[in-house]
Amino acid sequence: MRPVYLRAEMIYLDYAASAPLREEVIEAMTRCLGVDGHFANPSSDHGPGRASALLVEQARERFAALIGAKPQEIIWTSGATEANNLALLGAAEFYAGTGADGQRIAVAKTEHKSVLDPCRQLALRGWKLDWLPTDAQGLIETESFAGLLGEQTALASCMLVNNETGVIQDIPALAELAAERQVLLHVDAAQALGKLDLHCQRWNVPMMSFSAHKFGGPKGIGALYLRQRPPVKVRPLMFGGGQERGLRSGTLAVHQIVGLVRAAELAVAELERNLGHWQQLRQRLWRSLQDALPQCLLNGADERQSPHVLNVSFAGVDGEALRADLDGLAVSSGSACTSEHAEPSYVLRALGRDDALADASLRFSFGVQSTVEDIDGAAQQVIHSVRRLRALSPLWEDAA
Amino acid sequence: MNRYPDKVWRLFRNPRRAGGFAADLPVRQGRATTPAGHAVIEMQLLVSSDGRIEDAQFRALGCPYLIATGAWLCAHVIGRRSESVQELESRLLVEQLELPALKRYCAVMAVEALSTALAKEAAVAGAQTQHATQTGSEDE
Amino acid sequence: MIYFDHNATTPVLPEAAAAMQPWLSEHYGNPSSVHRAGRLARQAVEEAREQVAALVGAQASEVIFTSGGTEADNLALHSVGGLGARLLVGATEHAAVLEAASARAGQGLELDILPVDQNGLIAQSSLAERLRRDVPQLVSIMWANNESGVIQDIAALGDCAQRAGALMHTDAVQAAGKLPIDFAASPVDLLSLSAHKIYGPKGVGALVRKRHVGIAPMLRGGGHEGGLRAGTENLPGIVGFGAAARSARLELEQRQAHVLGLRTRLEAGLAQMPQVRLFAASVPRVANTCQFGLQGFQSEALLMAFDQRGIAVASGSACHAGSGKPTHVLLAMGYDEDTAHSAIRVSLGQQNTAAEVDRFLSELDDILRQQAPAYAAGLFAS
Repeated sequence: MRPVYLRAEMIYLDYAASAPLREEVIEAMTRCLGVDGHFANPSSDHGPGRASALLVEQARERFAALIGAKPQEIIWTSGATEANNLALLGAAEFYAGTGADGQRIAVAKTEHKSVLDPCRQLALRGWKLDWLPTDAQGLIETESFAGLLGEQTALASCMLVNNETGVIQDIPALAELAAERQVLLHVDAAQALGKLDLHCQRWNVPMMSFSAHKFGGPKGIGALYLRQRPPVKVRPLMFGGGQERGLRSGTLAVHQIVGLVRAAELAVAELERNLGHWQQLRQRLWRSLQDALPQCLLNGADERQSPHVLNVSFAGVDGEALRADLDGLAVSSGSACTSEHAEPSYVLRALGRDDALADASLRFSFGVQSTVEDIDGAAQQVIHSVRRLRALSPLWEDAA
Repeated sequence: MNRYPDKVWRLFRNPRRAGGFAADLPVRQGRATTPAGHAVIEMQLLVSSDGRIEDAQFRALGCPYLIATGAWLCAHVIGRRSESVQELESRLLVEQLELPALKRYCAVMAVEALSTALAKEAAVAGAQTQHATQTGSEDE
Repeated sequence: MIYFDHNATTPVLPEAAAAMQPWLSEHYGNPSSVHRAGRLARQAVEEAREQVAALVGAQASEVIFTSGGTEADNLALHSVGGLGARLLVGATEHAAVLEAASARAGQGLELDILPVDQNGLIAQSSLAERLRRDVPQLVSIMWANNESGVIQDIAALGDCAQRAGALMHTDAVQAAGKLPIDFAASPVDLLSLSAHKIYGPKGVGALVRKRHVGIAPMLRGGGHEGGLRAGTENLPGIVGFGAAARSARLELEQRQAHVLGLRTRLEAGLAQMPQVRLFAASVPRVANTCQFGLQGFQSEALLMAFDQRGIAVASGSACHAGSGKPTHVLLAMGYDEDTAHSAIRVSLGQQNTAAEVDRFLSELDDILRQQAPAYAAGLFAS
């Protein structure tokens, strides 16, 4: 069901920033809140506490099954940002201490900030950063990946589905190369669940991060998969009551965990249907824009592309003006985490777009609730705004 | 809820005197550009023989503040004598449009484009093909 | 079901749950997005920030939202570092402070544990003699203890810390909503809060920080919360926290009167039982908490018996539940292991009634008779 106020005023195509919750997810969460529900602390040693703990553990089993993992390999966190921080800082500290011995970490410039910032933090502590080269589509080439992992490389991090462009890295291949070179690979799968089939065990990935609110679950909850065989260890970021086997202290948010799992189950069950739906929407939107507007450029991959994202750069317009003018359309430029800052997307710049083009880019992202009407309405607004702004520009006629 | 001051928002969404004059008119034209060239504003003036600004148009590539600044400045200078606007300070635009500190350069650019235009001889610009398309009631 | 474990967690207030609903359903924007849905979400976060700030007499700009009290405590302990840096933490602190402090000690900080007296209080003189002047220091003392309910003299201790140039952190997770707190006027630089202890949702808390205090963030990436705590804001959680904080502020006196009435009734009943020994009963405690020992009994067996009778109580912190270890709080107060092992904590809440207290007392009496025939025979009466 679509929210009334949004339907009336705004077209929402920013599902990669945050997606609405389904009725059944909200219901499952609400049942854990009030005095008549499962509100007790799962750490408490009494009936209601154990009932809460049981819910949490059942959720863990169900989530593990969805991602090809064992329940004891799941650590609940406050989101993908925490999962990414815990994986990278935690593994770095556990295996390499201070990094004073010149350990290296390999990462692409197109990663999410919550991967890049911990890497930069490690660099401040003495780690060496190796940037993984990407091609013009943003894909990491397996050969250059293998070449970059040297003797000193302890860690690498790759995003499964890029949050800005939707390109899909070949994680099984990268994981194999990393394993051969005894490099601990972390995979940021925040945008991936419900967008493709993923399987932690079969892919032999040591660490993988998840975020509920990207697949229709609540904000403020996520998970880190930590492989058990061969084991991967991390030093905790937060200490205290020793929840999550001491790896992540803090009272478990039962309603959040329950909501995450319900949403994950829906996302996985409806995967095939959604992919087809998004493919159709994506093609329709791209065709409309391309037909109406000269000089719009697609940011993405031909083959390895998740259909829930369409990222387009518009030549000859100012990014801020374009975003402001699209007042009735919720899309993003770059990731939501960087939207407030005036800087153009570093991901698109890494793909070779200049500052002005990177800034004048829009990421459309689709969800279960997206409709053909949304797409047509969005296309209409974008075409109108781009034409209007180009007509205002003293430079456009020269270029056209 | 809006991120822009009301006045800026109105002028950005519905800028009067945007797009430039017809190519066959004798306009005085001036441009200002940011160092990186990402933002450009152009002022076009029709000045009568006795030095009165009879009409003005602008074109801009830039943020909503820059577009609003161009629109505001056109409305402001029409009917004034060119000597009287030569002394115009960007501070006035900053105040009138409530430009935040980071966007004050928009006012500086607009004033620079205006003074460049005033300093120039009137010319018939061959390159221009577009006619002024924006009409409507004054809201200044 | 009688729930007497409100210091472990509280149910979400109906008004807080209702406030959360629209942010679970129709408003799903990301507060960092610049479009209207995002700006609406941002506004909701900022309103909640004001409500949370108002609960503790702080400025909204001083509030950093976190995933809970544990993260807030851990983050607070990242406000001090560098050559010779020292942490001085109370012996009866919550595990989040104690464990985080020892992890920081592992990174080279000097850790000093502040002893408490028989009533769980830290003496100002004991803090003063441990403080130095030449190194960066952070003092962390909880405002109200989660197990005993004991209220520290934060004004005096904070003064003492600040006079020595140290930063003062207080874990106010159990004090907020139970005591009036004036952060602005208190000699406190950092203060931790948790939503689910004040009838808000789990998974959200806050660190309140005076502007002059620098903090090294734990979670990086995305620049949320002024760069001090990365990660998409838990929007419904934060809104629920705000609503809960608002109610807690408006109803503070009325709520405390309610639980104090119940506790007085409870303690009057307990006074009739010879094996009961109230902990810290002679010093100020938060009104909802009563911890006592039962001489000759083991709390695990007692808890199980209560559980079978549909009464949820605890021995101490939920985080230690099931570990089989006696609570460190009572040991720090100088009690022997047997006494610490016999502890029961009753923490009362708003929906509890006098009838529930009476039922608890009669069930306790019954359990004691069953488990200790000696008591029934009156041998303890002497």
